[in-house]
Amino acid sequence: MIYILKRLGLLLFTLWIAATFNFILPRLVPGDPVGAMMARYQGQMTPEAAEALKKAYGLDNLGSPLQEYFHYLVNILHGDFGRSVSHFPSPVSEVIGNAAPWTIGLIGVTTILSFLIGSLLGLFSAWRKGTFIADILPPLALFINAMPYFWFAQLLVYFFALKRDWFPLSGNLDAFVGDAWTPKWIASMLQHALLPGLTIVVTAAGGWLITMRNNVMSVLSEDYLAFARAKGLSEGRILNRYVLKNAMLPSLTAFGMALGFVVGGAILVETVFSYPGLGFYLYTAVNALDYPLMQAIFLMIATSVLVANFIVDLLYAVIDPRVRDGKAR
Amino acid sequence: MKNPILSTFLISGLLFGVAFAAEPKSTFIIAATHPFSGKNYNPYTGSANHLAPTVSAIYESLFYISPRDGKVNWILGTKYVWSKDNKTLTITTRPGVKWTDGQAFDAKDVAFSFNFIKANPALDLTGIWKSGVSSVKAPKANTVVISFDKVNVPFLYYIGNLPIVPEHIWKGVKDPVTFTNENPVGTGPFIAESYSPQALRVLKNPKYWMKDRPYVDAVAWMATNGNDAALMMLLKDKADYSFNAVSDPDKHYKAKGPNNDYWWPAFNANFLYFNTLKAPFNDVAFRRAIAGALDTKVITQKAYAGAVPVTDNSGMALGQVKQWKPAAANVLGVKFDTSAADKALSAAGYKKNSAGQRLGKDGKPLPAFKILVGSGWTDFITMAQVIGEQLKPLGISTSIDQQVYSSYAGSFQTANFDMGVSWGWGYGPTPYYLYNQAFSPDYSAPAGKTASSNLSHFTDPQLTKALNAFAATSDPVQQKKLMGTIVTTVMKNQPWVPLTARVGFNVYNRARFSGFADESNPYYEGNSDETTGARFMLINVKPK
Repeated sequence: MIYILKRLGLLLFTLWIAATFNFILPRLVPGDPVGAMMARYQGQMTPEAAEALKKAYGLDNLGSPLQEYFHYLVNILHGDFGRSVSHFPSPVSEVIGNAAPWTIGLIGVTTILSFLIGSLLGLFSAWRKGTFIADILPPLALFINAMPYFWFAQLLVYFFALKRDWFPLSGNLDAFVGDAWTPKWIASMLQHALLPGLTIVVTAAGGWLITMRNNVMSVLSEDYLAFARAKGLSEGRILNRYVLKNAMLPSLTAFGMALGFVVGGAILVETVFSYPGLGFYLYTAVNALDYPLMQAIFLMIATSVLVANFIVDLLYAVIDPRVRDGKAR
Repeated sequence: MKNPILSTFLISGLLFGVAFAAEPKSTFIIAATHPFSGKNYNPYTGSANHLAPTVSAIYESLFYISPRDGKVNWILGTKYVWSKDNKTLTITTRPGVKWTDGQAFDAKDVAFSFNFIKANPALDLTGIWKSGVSSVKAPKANTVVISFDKVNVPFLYYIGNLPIVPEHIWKGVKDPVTFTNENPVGTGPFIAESYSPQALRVLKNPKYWMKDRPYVDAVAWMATNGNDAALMMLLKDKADYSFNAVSDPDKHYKAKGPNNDYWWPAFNANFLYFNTLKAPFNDVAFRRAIAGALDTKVITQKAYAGAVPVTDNSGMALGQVKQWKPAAANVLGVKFDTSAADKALSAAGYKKNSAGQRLGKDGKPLPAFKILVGSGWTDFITMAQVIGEQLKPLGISTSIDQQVYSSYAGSFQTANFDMGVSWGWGYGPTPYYLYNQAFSPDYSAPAGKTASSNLSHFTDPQLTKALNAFAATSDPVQQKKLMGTIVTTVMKNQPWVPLTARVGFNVYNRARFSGFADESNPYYEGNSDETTGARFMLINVKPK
């Protein structure tokens, strides 16, 4: 219990630090969104119009930096991030609400898939060491893992969307597909998700494979396994109770981190495929100096990584009794 | 089936076949080179904030003066008359026009629209109420009277361009700046239909006042994340049009298919601006010597691979030269001649030292001058590189200063630069718009303060007088004479060097539609599909 409370306290503290940094960093960048917008109008916008825009963006009457800071903290507790500049006048929460399901759907599912596939293959490759397939897997995984994934994505686009018409070039849905969750809509959604999904699964699974294989290999050399074998335990029991449980711990931490990063989206994949998730919006927000949107997405990434870590910490307590008793770590 | 991916695809393909049966018969598809903003059909918010491409399709203005040839295209107006003192503009509105909700359009809607942006200055982005307009009234159902307290004849261009909205809907709008106008009611040839961040579609307005137009049933804009992705759609026959600055369009597009074509008409120019508030650029002899060392033919060729013409040394759009450039100006341009430029610099007091470095008037070597360009804008970066090479023989060294858009524009506006490449920040049906925005003291500011568009921060009393007089007359003879003074003063003082023409990057795939504008049929100036003129393309393209 003390362990959990300690973790929770740490979580809240780091969240506050992240929120504070998130407040300070954009304010260190020279220039402001209204200035950028005036520049975009190339002198056609009058100072009065700029003043009115400031009001609309909520950039007037900010008060002292300290007041502004507390105002900001209160607002984010309410989930109010102001209005997006690039999607004005939509509130930031609405823009994020539209983008988040796509990222969580695409990147979330593929992250879990690549973890499962990669880890299973890694386990197989370590367990069946010496057979041809098991031995060819690690170098293959290293090769695929070393491939920059945007490059792999562009290869897929080139061969399957440009050379052949099998898949769409970009986007998340066909243009005028109608209401959500109709068969037509689902087909279109899957068709659009396949290439970006494949990119992530293929390039990420290699990493999981190597990690899992190394873990299993190191566990296999432990004395207690020799002892378990000597006791005459069945192979299945050894694998499940002794190998897997111990080998999983490091992978699980990494997996928790990876799940946290899902929210940030795979910026490169989403950009290559113009997939309208959070990563794509982050990219466009940076281009448009859309600070409210940028801040909100950064804060979401920070929060989800921290929360994912917290959950992993809790899981550790479940899996590893040493942690639960507070004797290790 | 052996291939699971292929079978997924085929099944979804079957589903599509069924679905598309109910689609509009002919859809003109435009590949946009950027993602769309949020769902906002409010035509008065800034173009970065509303769905800019749909505005000219849904809303109409009084008239449209083509920046290409100055010709007036009548839209919701049918006639305008200036009073003798040029202080009252009387416009007759078109009869028989209906809003898409069935109500009749009349002059009251026009007066309402003008007064609406007066009450909400954040929406008056072209500064209509800052440029001499004092009142807009509709004394009769077909007559609008616009009064000026300061004569400003060229402002007609912006007056004609204001989108007109229906009074019966907009009078109830509470917060016009954040109003997103989800169900726009306009008079235009198309009606808004669907929006997603990836695709926009408008359908034909069956009751449009031009009985036979538009020819297409729908126009759709597809968002992509850049020039390459949009071009790919054209190459695959998935789009019919894109406003797309393809590098080397002959090689990378036109040569790749029989229907691939492009029309890049010049309507403006790109300039090398000097910061005339700073030595040695405050010295006209120095500026003219630099101009003499630049071979604009080479600069244009390297920057655009022959797809863009060299511009006129007066800086005015190529189509306006014949009508507006005075004969006296022909001898004023500096000819490209590096050794003459070298001599001119020495004669003006900028000697060369034994190491071949150019010295300032104080005898110290000139610093390396920065050439300001936008970050990643390959055409401008190429221009800056070539300029740097061409200035080397003079003993002048340069470096390229790439900045992101807002600080690029800000550095120009606050005179925090040496030299920089940018376009003419004003353009319109006569060269007045270019010269006025570039050299009027109204648009300038001292160093450190923001000048709206006088980037070289150059003003001249004679030039200012001529610009003001030009704005005050509607007499063509007088206008021509004053333009002569404007052009010759600018050319003598060389506050900029016109480098290349600036063109509209229209890229066509002619497979499914005819009726595109081109050199043989230039029915609009060819600027982007997000500008008012593009409506003429939308109503003129015809399914084959």
